[in-house]
Amino acid sequence: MARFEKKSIIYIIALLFIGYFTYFQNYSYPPKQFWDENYHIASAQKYIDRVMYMEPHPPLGKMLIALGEAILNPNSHIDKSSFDKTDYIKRFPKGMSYAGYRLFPTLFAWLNVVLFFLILKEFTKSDILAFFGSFLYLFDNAIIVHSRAAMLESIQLFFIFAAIYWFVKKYPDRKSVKDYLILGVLSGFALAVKANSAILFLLFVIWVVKDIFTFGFTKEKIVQALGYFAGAAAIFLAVFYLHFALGQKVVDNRYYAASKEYKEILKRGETANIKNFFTMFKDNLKYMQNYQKGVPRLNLCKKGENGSLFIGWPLGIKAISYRWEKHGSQVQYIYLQGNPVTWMIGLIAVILSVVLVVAVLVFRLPVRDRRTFEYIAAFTFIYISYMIAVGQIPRVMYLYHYFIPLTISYILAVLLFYYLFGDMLNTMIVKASMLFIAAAIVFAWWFFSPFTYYKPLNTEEFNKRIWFDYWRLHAVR
Amino acid sequence: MRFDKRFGLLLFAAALWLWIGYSIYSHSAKHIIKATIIQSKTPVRDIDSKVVPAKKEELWIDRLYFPVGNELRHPTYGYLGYKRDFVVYFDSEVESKKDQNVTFAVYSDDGFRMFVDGKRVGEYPKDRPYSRTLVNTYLPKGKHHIRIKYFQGYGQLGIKVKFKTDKNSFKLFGTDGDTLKFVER
Repeated sequence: MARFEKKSIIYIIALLFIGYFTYFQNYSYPPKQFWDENYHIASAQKYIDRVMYMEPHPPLGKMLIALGEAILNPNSHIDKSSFDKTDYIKRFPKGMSYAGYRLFPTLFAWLNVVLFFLILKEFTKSDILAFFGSFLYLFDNAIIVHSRAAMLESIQLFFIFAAIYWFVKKYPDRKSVKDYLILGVLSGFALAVKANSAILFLLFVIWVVKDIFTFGFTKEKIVQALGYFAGAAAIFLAVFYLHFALGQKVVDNRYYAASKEYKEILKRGETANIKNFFTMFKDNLKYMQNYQKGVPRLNLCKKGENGSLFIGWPLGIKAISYRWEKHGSQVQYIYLQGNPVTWMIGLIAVILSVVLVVAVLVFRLPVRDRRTFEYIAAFTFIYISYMIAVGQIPRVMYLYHYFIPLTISYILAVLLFYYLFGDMLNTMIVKASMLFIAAAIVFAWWFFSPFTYYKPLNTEEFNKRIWFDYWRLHAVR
Repeated sequence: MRFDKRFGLLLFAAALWLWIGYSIYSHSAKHIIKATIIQSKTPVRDIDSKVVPAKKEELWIDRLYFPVGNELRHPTYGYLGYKRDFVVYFDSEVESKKDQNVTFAVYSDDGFRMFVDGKRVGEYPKDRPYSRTLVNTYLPKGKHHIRIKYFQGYGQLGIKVKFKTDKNSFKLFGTDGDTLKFVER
C-alpha cells in the first residue's frame, strides 16, 4: 500500500513539474489586461480597500484575486484608488504588475492537475492511465489561457474537481452525514465563485439514488440531505458575510442597489454585524438578478460578436481574441482557442458514452464493468444536463462557459478508455497507443501555444492554425 | 477471426496524428500565386475605379478559388475579413511545355481583368453576379507571367479561375496540367 502511494506521489510530482511550465511559469505576462480582468480587478481591489460593491458573480473568486494582490503587493508604488470608483477599469496605471491579481487563479489552475489526477486514479486505480489522462487538462490551451488571468473559472474548477473527487471516492460506500456535509461544503465553495456550479447538485442526487438502490431508503437519508444543504449553505452564506464585512466604505456615492436599510447599516459601520446580514444579502441577490436581465442576448449578426451558441461549444465554436499587439508583420495574440486534439477526444468520448448508455439501457447490451459503467452513465447525465441548462439561459454566453462540461468530457474519455481497455493496460499495444495519443496532445498544445502565451506569429503562421473555419480565428493584418 | 480491439486503439492514435498532419499541411499554402489584396477607402465600382488604399496585404495561395459568399474566404486560410470595396492582384508564373492555345474560365463576382506577360487578354470590367467569362489566349513554349486583377464592390463576392489546354478538361488555376505547369516560388 505504502509503495503504491509512493508511486502515485512520483506521478503527481511529475504532473506538477510539467504543469509549472504549461500553467504557472511567467503567468504575469503579458503585463496588460485582457477579457474580464477589467471587471474582476476593479472588484478585487475594493476588498483590499474595504469598499462596498455589488456584482453579478458570487464573491469568493474575487476575494481570492484580492488575496493574491494583498500577499504579493507588487503595486505598492502605484495609486489604485481609481479602481474603487468604477466597476470596469478603462485604463490601468502604467507599470502595473498583474502578478498579484493573477496569483490565485493561476495557482488553482496549476493545482487542479493534482485533483484531476486523483479523480482519474480513483476511477481507474491505475497511475499510468491517470497520469496520461491528466494530459487532457494539463495541455488544454483554452483552459490554460483563461486561467493565467485574474478570472474566476480556474478557481471554480478547483472546487468542482474537489467535489468530484470526494463524490467518486465515497461513491460505492455507505455514506455518513459527514460525507454528505463535505460534499455540500465543496459544492458551496464552487457555488460561491460562480452560479453555474449549481450543476454540482447532481452529484448529490446521484449519491442519493445510488445509496437508495444499494442500501435501501432509511430515515437517515433525510438527515444526510440536510447535512448536504447545510454544508453548501454555510459556505455560501459565510462567503457573503465576509463580502459584507469587508465592504465598509462607500466611494463616490456608489451604493449600487442598496436599500435605505442597507445605507443606514453602512452609515453606522455595522456591515460586519450578523443581525444585518439578511438585509444586505437580499439587496445583493436583487442586484445580481437585475444585472443578469441587463446582459445582452446573443446576436450572431453583430459585427465582432464574441458570444456563441452552446450547441457549437464542443466543436470549439467560437474562439475569442482576448488581446493582440502588432509589431511590423508579426502579431502577438492571446486567443481563447482550445487544443483541438483534447477537444476532439472529449467530443468523441461524449458521443461514445451516449451510445454506450443508450445501448445498455435500451438495447440491453451486457455491461462488462458495472462500476465504471455507472460512472460513465452518471457523468454523461451531468454533461447533458449542463448543456440543456445553459441552453435555457437567454443572455449571451461564451466558449469558456463550456469548461465544466469539457472537463467532464475528459473524465468520460478516461472512463471509456478504462472500460474498454482496463484489463489490457499492461500490453504493449495499449501502452504504445497511450503514448502516441499523449504525444499528439502535447504536440497540438505546442503548435497552438502562440495563442496561449502571447508569442508572435505572421499571417501565414497564423493561418496554418485555422483548421476549421467555424472556429472563427481571424489574423490581424 | 475476431478483431483485436487494441488495434482499434492504435488506429485511433494513428488517426489523430494523420489528422494533425493533414490539418497543418492543408493549411500551409504553397507559394504558387501571390495575392495582393488592397482595401480601398473609396467605393470600387468597376475595374478602373481609383483605389485609395486603406490596407494592403500579400498572401500566397496554391489555387485561385474564393467561394461565393459575403466575405472573402480561401479554403486554406478561412475568412479573410474583406467584404466590400477592394481589389486583388493575383500574380503567378506558368511554364508552357509547348506552343499551345489555352482557355481560361474566370468565374467572378464582381469583375476582373487578365494579363499575360503584361498584355491584356480578357476582362469583365463592371460589377456582376457570379458569372463566367471565357478567355482564349496563345501561350508559346516557355515561362509566362499571368496577372489577374479582381475587384469587389458590394454585396456577394467570389472568384474562381480554371484553365484548359487542348482537349483536356478544365483544371483549377494553380494546379498543374499536362502541358502547363505552375512555378512554385
